[in-house]
Amino acid sequence: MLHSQLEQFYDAHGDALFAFLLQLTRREADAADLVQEVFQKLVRRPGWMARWRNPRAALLRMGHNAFIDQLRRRTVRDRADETFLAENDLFVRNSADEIWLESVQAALGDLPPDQRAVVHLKIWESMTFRQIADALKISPNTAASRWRYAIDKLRQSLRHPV
Amino acid sequence: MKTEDLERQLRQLPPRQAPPALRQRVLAQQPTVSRTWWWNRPILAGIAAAWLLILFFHLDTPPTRDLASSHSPALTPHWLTHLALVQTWLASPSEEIFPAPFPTPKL
Repeated sequence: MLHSQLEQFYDAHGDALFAFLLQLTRREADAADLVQEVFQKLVRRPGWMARWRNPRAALLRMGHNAFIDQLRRRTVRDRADETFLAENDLFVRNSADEIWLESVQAALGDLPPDQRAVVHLKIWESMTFRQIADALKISPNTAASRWRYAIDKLRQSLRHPV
Repeated sequence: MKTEDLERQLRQLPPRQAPPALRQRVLAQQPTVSRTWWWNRPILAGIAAAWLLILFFHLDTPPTRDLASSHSPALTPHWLTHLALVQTWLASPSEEIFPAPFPTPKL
């Protein structure tokens, strides 16, 4: 793979991958590490990109796999420590009023990562349930039900913000 | 709040972009030259090379057994001799190829 190809690929999809991983990890440093890990894999296996019909979806799938691997690597103690760490902002700060933004971030944070992933892909990547299912290696029905559960919880949380 | 309204409101929140330092970090990686599949699998390549070497040296040695008595060894191609040897191994009981260290008592 040429350096310019990698550069083009990063410019086209890097932000989307970072936003998706930030949504899953809730920590900027972790999201950045995972983005680098994904691109490292791509550099080692340059043939992968040529075979992808939908590079964005494939890249997000790799990101999701990297996130699951990271979760498995972590010990129980690490996970417990994380709950005390301050979470990073998921959205651009000055885009909405602060209270609404805080409420959405908190409500998203209460969702399990599986549901958060579906919400992110549906809302910010505008994917269909079939595409989400492909990206997360789940069935379209599972994607749809995760979406339904997540939206119900979000609606509930945003109606009564903490 | 309806699902559509909630969706629309969420869509209005632009996700954060990757920090510029991350771009530099990612692009600082040196892309490797594309290799063929066997280059990426050194163990497989090693086994294949060892097998070829064994085959080469084995075929180069004259046959130790008179496998094809009707043929002169000089006229028999080496690969055919090798094949015949394998066939004999498969067909014969193991004692003929690997004689037992002690004679088995006959009942």
